[in-house]
This record gives sequence, structure tokens and C-alpha cells, in this order.
Amino acid sequence: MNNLRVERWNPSVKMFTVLLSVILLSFQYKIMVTLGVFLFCLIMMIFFSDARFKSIIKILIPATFAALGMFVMGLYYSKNNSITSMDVSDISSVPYALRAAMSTNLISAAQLGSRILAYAGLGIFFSLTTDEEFFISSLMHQCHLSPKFAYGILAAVHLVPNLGKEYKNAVFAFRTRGIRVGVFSLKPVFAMLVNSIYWSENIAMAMQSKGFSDNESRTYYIEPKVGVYDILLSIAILSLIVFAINSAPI
Amino acid sequence: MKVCEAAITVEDVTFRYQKRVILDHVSLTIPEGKISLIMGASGSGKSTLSHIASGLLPEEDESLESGEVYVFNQNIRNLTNNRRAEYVTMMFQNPDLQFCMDTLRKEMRFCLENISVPKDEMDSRIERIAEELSVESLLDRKLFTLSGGEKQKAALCCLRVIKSRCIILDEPFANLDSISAMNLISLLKDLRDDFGMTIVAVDHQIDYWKDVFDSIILLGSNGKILSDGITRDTLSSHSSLFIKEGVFFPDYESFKQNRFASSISNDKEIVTLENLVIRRGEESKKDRRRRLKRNKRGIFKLDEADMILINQKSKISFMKGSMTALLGRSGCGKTTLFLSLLKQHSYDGTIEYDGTDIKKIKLKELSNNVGIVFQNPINQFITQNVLEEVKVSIKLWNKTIDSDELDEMALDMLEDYGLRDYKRQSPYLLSQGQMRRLAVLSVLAGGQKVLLLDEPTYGQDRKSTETIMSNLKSKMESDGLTVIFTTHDRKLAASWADSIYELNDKSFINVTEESEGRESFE
Repeated sequence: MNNLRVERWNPSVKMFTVLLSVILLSFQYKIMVTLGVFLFCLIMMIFFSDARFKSIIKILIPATFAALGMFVMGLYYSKNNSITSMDVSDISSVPYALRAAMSTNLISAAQLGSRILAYAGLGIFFSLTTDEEFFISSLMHQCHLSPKFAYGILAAVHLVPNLGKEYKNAVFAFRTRGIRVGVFSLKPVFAMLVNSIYWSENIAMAMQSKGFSDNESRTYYIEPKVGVYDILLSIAILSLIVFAINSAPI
Repeated sequence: MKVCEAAITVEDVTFRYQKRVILDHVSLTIPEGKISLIMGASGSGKSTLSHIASGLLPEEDESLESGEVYVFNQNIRNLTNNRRAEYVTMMFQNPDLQFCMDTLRKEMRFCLENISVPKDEMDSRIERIAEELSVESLLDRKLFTLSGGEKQKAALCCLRVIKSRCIILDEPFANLDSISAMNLISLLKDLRDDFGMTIVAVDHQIDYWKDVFDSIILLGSNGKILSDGITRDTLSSHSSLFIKEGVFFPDYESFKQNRFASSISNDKEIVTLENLVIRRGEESKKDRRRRLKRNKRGIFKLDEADMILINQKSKISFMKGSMTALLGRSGCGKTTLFLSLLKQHSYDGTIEYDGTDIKKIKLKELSNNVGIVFQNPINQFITQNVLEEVKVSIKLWNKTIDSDELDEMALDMLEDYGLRDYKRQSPYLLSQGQMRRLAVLSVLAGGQKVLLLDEPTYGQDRKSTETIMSNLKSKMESDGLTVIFTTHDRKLAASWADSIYELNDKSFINVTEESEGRESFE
């Protein structure tokens, strides 16, 4: 089973596949395709990845709201046959569901809503099934990202937990010195940023001291490679989308 | 290995930082396979010298004004970072800012990648070093969960895995308790004895090193070499030089003033603690569930009892106008206690300020009465200029003061602390010792009645320590200030504090009577 995890899919190839899928979806309006992509992402995440179900749901909730919002917007304000406020007030005694079903805008509303879901699905799929370090080393190997940026990004990512703590410290420092700090005060933010510059200098120095240099050759412990399966998976998914766009009825 | 007399040779080096001369024609030689200490008063350029010797300064677009640095007979300028790392690497003061990966294993891999070790050899080399330094248990733990001592050990592992022939340490024991520091020292000693490693350390105090060092280099101002090659045998004959320079000297009764000289002005209690229970972190329900889950899986076990940092049943009172020292291992909860005293950390039990439960005092009012100096001074600054930093505090407390008077007052204070020359500089560009002094000063300039100081004298030379402590003392006598400070330095506590508590097994024990200072005094 372990061989069938999407985590093993080369992150750079995965990234390009996701990007291309987004572009393909942008130029079509077929509900079956967009919903299909969304469902495909869900199935991949639930059955073929180690992504936690809880985190999937957590991100899906706001996405669903956004999709619903788009749906409602499409329902009332689409280009053809838009329902004016007059119409709405005229038939307000009719239940909402019935009104919606009666509306000729139902399809365009579903198109808009499902597109949001598809984009969200692709985004979640990529972010939850990609290990950040594997992704960055893949960017170094497949996309020629310079090690300076790559390790800089990693160091920064690993410092993020400290930022919140630092902000709290700064607020506390101001308060104990008798200076008022409001919720939106920028003073502690500034202090925190000055501190983080100091951190970055320190860490850069520590990295150099340990022999890190940008232009010298180095070996790699993790060396992501692009295999036949990586490409095949990508081609399969993209052709499926193209095929669906051409043949789906709605 | 080729026998090489000198590990590092610094020849006639002059270095300026923003027009200020830090090192003025400095030359020195570090012998191979020895432990050398670089000592000197605060601001003597020790830290800068160590950075230059390890090739980290000058930065890429800068250059030395004069001079050359050689490591193992190679000009350091001609070495790329990865080649240089095999000769000399550096360990830094702040254990939090040394790693770019999130676990030690990954960090060690990063080091090996830098020096182009083939992938297949990496794992075995990492395992071997981890076993050698017995850090196997740390390898896969997230680095931010390690204690300060463990982090420094991890940093040492990284340098060891590179097989660096010389290690330069810049105040490695900052914020470490004595047990962790001694562990690190014995590790360094083994590295010298078993592998012939050269170790150079910048430190303010000899205490930890006194049984293992081979030679001391004493720096004066602008890195002038005052004495080179002081050995353990000749150390005692140099005591006057150390004392003249204001550098700590072992067993020298440096503190003229003594706690017995001052009497407690009155015996009114100002801060009292009773039935106090302080827990590690503020554990939300979610964290608790996670912890229990982790315990079940047997990783990183923390029991209910381990979550409690302080469990103080008996009552402790801090008297008005007195100085109290708190001793204890680092991470044992001294800093957290301070946070609780300022309502920044939850606790059970009662903390009273001046007879009122602090839960009933508004935070603003409380911080008008209780001030704090943080362990890490960089968290403390609120302005961008040294003079401003002091002025802000004075102004807050003397609203009517006119600006000339304010300037004069602030400058006088800076003068006392040896910071007047830096008045236009940003606090963030000061040296570590200077930063800490400024942090103490800026709080002392305020009018709070109780000061909590977290390691106020770490990284200070003797002269600055004396200035800080005697300023506190005189403010105690004039304004009835109450001081509570934490320290790892028992001698300091014994010489200055009116009472000393040690945090041992989660509660404070009054050790004033049995403390070393008293014995030597009598």
C-alpha cells in the first residue's frame, strides 16, 4: 500500500500538474468536470495519502462556504434572466428551494460554486500531500532553485513557531515598561521584525560556519528524481480532464 | 594527521565596524590541540576577534583594514566556506539560532551535504557521532523542544560530524545552568584529549574552565593582547592584571560590598507567595489530549507531575527594600515564576503584592509597581537608540522634567554603565554584555518599587557586575527598592543578596544560612 501514496509523487511534477489542471478548469464551465476534479482530489487524499481526515475537513469548511456564496451569487446575478429584486419580492411566498429550482440560473450558479470547490480541492490536495522539505529539495533538483533560497526558506519555516512567541514578548516588554500597547499597535510588530532580522543574521552565520556556501558543489541526502510513473500519472490526470471537458454533457 | 604548531594565526588584524575601531593591529597564535580561553572586559572585541578567526567576519562585501588570518597554515580568505569548515567552525552563544533544520539528524545531514560527503556514508557517520557524544535520544526530537544544554550539545555534534579540527565557542554557557555547562566542558575535554581537537572559547569567567584550560589570552581595549599564554600554573601570578582589567578572577573576593553591610530598611512584606503551584506552559485541553496520546505511544513522556514546575506549600515573603537571589537549574521555573508575578502565566495559590492579591490588581497598575529585566535583553528594547531607551523610562516617571535635565540625567546614567560612547547607536548593535547592561539600566531608570531581574549579570565582566549590583543596592537604600534576581552564580548571590532561595525539587528552600558566602565571610 505504501507504494501507492501520492506523497511519493515528485512534488515538482505534482505542482505542474495541479497548475495545469487549474488552467484547464479556468476555460470551461462544465459542472461534471469541476465536481469530478473535486471528488477525484478527495478520493486521492482519503484513500491514497497520509493526509489526516480532520485537516481535510478543516480546510474544506471555509471553502464550502465560499462555494455556497458563489452559488447564491450566481443564482441571483447571472447575465441572462437575472431575477430583479422586484421579482423576488413578488414570489417571496414561494419556498426558497422551489424558487431556486425554478430559476434558469441554477446551472450557472452551480458552475460558479463547483469551480470554487474544484480549485479548493486541488489546493488542499497539493498542500496536504506534500512534505515541505521534500518539495523544496525537489525544487532544487527539478527547478534549479538555488540552495541559498532553499535552505533559507527551510530555516525561516522552522522559525515560524518562534514569531508568535516573539510578538507576545514584545507586547509584554512594552507593557512592563509602562507603555500602552493597543490591539492594533504597530510598535511590538516593529520590535518583532527587528528581532527577526537579528535572527536571520545569526542563523545565516551559523550556516556559513557549518560550511554552507551558495556556489560550491554539495551532496544531497534526499535527491528527488522524476520517474516514469511520475510523468505517467501526470499525463493520465491531465488527459482525463481534457477528455471530460470534451465529452461531458453539462 | 600532519602535526601543525599553530591552529590559528592572526596577523596584525585591524577591523572597523561603522567607523568604530574594534580591533587595532591584533596578532595572536592559537596552538593546536589545546583549550585556549580568550578573556577580556566587556567591549574589548573578544567576540569580534573570534568571528574573524573563524572566517565569518568580515562579511563578503567587506574586508579587513589590515592583516591576515591563517588556519592550519592556509590563508582563510582563500578557503571556501565548505573547505574552511573542515578546519574551523564556530559555536554560538544563542542556542536557538544555530539550526536551519528542525531535527538534529536533519541538521547533521545538512552539515555533511555542505562538505560534500557521499550520501551513502551520511547515516553511518551520523550514528557514530551520536553514539560518541551519547545524543542518540536527541536525534529525532524537534529541536525547539530541547533544553538549552541539549541544544548546545546538538550544536557541538554538528561541528563534530564535520570533523572540524578547531572549534571556536562564543560564550557557550550563556543561559546554561552549571550542570549542563559542566557536561559540555567534559565533552570538550574529551574532544581535545581523544581527537586532538583545538578548542578556543570566549568567556567571561574562568570558573568552569579552570581545570581544563591550557592557556588564556587576555585582551585589553581594542583587542590589545595584554597577556598571551597564561597557563594553569602561572594563573595566580596574573591576578592583579585580571583585576585591573575588571575581568573575573577565580576565588578573588571581588565584591567589596556585602549583604551584611546593608540592613533591611524595614521588615514589611512586599511580595508573598503561598500554596503556589505553577505549571509548565498553559496547557489547553487540546494540548493535554495530545500529551496523553504521546505518553501512550511512549514518545517524549511527560507525566502530570512533570507538568508542575513549582509546588510551593510554605509561605515565602520578600521584604521591602531587600535583595533576594533565586538559584536553581535552568528550566526549573524561575523565569516562569517571574511571569506569574506579573500575571503573564497562570498559577494556583496566592501571590500578594503589598498585601493585595495580584489577581485583584489591574495589570497596568501592577506593572507600574513591578518591573522586569528579561533574560534575553533583546526582548526588552522599545526604541531605536541607546539614549532614547533610557530617556523613555525617565520621562514616564518624571512627567514634568525638562529636556535638558532629562538629557543630562540619561547621559550620567549611561556614563556609569560605560555606554555613553554608544548613545546614538541602536540597542540591537551593542555587544551582548552591553545589551544586558542597557536593559537593566532602562528598567532601573523607571520608578517601579519591585524589580525582577532574570540573570542580570550574565556575560558581564567583574567591573560591570559590580556597577550593576551596587547601583541596585544604592537604589534600594535611597528609594526602598525591592530586588529579586535569578542567577546561576552562587558567589554573586552570596556576596550581594540579603536572602537566598534555591529552587530544588519544585519548591524554594531558604539557603541563606548555608550559602558559601557566609562561610567565607566568617
